[in-house]
Amino acid sequence: MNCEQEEKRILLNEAGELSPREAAALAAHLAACAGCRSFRDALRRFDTVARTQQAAVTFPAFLGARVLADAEQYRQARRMRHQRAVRLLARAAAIVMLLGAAGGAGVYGHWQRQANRTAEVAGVLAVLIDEEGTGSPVVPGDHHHGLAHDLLQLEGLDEDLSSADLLSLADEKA
Amino acid sequence: MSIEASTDEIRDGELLTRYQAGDSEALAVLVERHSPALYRLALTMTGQSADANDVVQEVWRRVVRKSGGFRGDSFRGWIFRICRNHLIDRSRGRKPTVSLDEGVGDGGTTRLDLLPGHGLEPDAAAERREWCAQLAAAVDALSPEQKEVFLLRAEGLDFKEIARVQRVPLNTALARMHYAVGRLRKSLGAEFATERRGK
Repeated sequence: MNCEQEEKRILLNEAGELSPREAAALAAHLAACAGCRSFRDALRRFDTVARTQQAAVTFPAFLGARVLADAEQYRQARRMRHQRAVRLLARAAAIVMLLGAAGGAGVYGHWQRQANRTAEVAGVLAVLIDEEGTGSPVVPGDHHHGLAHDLLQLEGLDEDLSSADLLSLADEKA
Repeated sequence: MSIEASTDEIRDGELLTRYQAGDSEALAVLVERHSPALYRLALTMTGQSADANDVVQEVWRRVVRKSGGFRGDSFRGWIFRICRNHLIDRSRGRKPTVSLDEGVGDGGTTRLDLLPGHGLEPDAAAERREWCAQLAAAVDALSPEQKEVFLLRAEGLDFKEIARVQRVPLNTALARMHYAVGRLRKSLGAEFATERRGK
């Protein structure tokens, strides 16, 4: 008979952790084994004394209040940290948006200047080319714009080129 | 939180969830429910009421800060594990002592004064106090692991929970308790061990 194993079963049984079948088998063993009964009785005796002993220890009333105050303090500090983080994040987002807007405005401005320049050159070309020979102001068409764009691209013209320079260049091309 | 008539029926896990959602009162229920057991364990393990106070406070501090880390099915097992880890941390470099003459509260009450015996006939009360003193001394002489198992079991944890708290297999927890009982029987003698309840 392996009483060490049975004694471990006693431990489990006292804690209600044995299945009914195992508990029945243990009961049968206990009926026949004085050593294991003695172990069980000692365990119960220790449990009784230990539990009454522990029940007699008074939990300090102030401690619960202190724990809760500490938790509340932590929660408030955390809330403040969270709010500060949100504010910082909002500021960072605003800065990013401003930078983005400024950058976007720069890109847009560059594109707009280029478009204006192309339109200007197209207008000059339209007058110079005056395909119909009317001699009157001509509304630049798509092909004038296309030519102006190509001219600017091919010549690598500086955006700051004056209208006079443009006219002379156009003369040359013509 | 609207605390119903039977807060005992609200599971620990649910209370923790409510606390995480901002319900401070849920934490108060948990603290009230579990602190006495934590305190008793800490008091027995440290031997000093001031240390036990610190341990309980630190355990709840960790619970509050790591409440999102609770994944298990036993909140009680989780907080006892936190308590155990903290006790191990703080015991490094310290020698825990238990003195029955040590004060445990205001007004000069000692642990010896708190041992059971109130309401009994003088002889019976004295005898019971003596049993408790003997058991306390014998338990204190156990190894820390055996002592823990013994105390956790006295707090009502089953062996599965104790094994989780100690992060050991069930058989190890059982073996520790088995050795503990053997040592207590040896040190306290057959007369103590065979004493009947209610004497």
